[in-house]
Amino acid sequence: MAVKPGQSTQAASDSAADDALSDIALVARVALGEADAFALLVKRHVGPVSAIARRMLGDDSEAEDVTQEAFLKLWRLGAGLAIDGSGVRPWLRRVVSNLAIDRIRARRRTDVTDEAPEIPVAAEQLKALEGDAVAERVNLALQALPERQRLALTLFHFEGLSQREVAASMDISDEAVESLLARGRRGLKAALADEWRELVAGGGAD
Amino acid sequence: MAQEAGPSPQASTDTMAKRTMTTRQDRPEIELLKALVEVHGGDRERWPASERLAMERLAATDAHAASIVAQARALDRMLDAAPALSSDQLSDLANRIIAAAQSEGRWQGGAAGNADAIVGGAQSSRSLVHDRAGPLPPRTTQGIGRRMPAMLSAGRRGPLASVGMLAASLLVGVLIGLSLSSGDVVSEAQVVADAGDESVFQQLVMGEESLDALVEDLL
Repeated sequence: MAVKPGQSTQAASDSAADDALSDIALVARVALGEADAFALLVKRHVGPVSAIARRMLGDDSEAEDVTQEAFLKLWRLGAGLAIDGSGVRPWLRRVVSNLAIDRIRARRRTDVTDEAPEIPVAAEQLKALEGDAVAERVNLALQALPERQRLALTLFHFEGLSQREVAASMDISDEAVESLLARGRRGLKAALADEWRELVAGGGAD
Repeated sequence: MAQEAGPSPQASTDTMAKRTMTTRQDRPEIELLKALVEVHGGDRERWPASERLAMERLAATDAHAASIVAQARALDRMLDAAPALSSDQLSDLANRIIAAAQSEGRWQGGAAGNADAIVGGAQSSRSLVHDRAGPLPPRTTQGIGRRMPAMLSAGRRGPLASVGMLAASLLVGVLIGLSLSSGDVVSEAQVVADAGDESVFQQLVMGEESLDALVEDLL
């Protein structure tokens, strides 16, 4: 397709205009079934929303599924969705967190049905993956955490939410968030002790 | 990135300090720092504003405090190594989500480019979630069209095929009638086949093909 003079300027201008549109305005347009508004919301929020799902579920494919499900809920709700000045992200965050937790619990039910033996998952899996990338080890260590600790850490550390925002998102008290974060970090430190000590000894902390 | 820690940072930090002090007694300010990094990590910008200055000063002047912060930062860095979706995966995912919403109807506009192809009707959320390739394409007559010559495709196919078949039927009927009157049916039919208009027979064949294709498509 030939690029006409001034087209790139026009595209940049359109992009800037898109960025300036508030989530509230876009959600209102989504309620009317406007494709462009929905596409814009998806592109704006798919990264952070899928990151929560990925860290909660530890699996690309499942993370993509729940991310898609969360956005489709937004599409279906349309006019039924009320958001405030903080935009649609808190709502999406809550939906994707709940969907991820549902999946984790469903997995657990399947495990019980299959009478899977109780094993120290993190330690065994870390051992089995000797030589694999640190990323995978961290992933496994995260998955070994209880789901609420994992969610609190995901929202606080990866999403960059404040303690108060995490509390609001999880519908728990600030003190409960504090406890979850502390226990989560202790759990990770224990599961990743070797790598962590190596990093500290090598001066990689700064 | 400056973050708020909560409504009552002093109270919550006191709670943390009490909890941490049950294990090993350090100086109170060191205990406070340990509790702080255990919850908020080693990134000073994530620390509660009410504690930040004092704790930063402590870490800058005390080797033990500096080591505690360094260890917390090491854990932060390890966490940062956790896998995330790549930009390509994110782009594909965004497109799939838009396509899936499209397939549910109530769609106006052309963000995904094929809004005109929507047939309507809703899929269940379950099938949408697991349909990685996006929604199924709408049922069209494409299956017939691709097996037919261009001259018979789309809107022109119906009238031409009908006229051709009608003409061929008339011609064959007349010639067979004539041959029956001469008594030698087999040889006259062969004559018809040999001497007949090729285009008529071609259209007959094409008509059959299109009918087969139509039957296949309906099945």
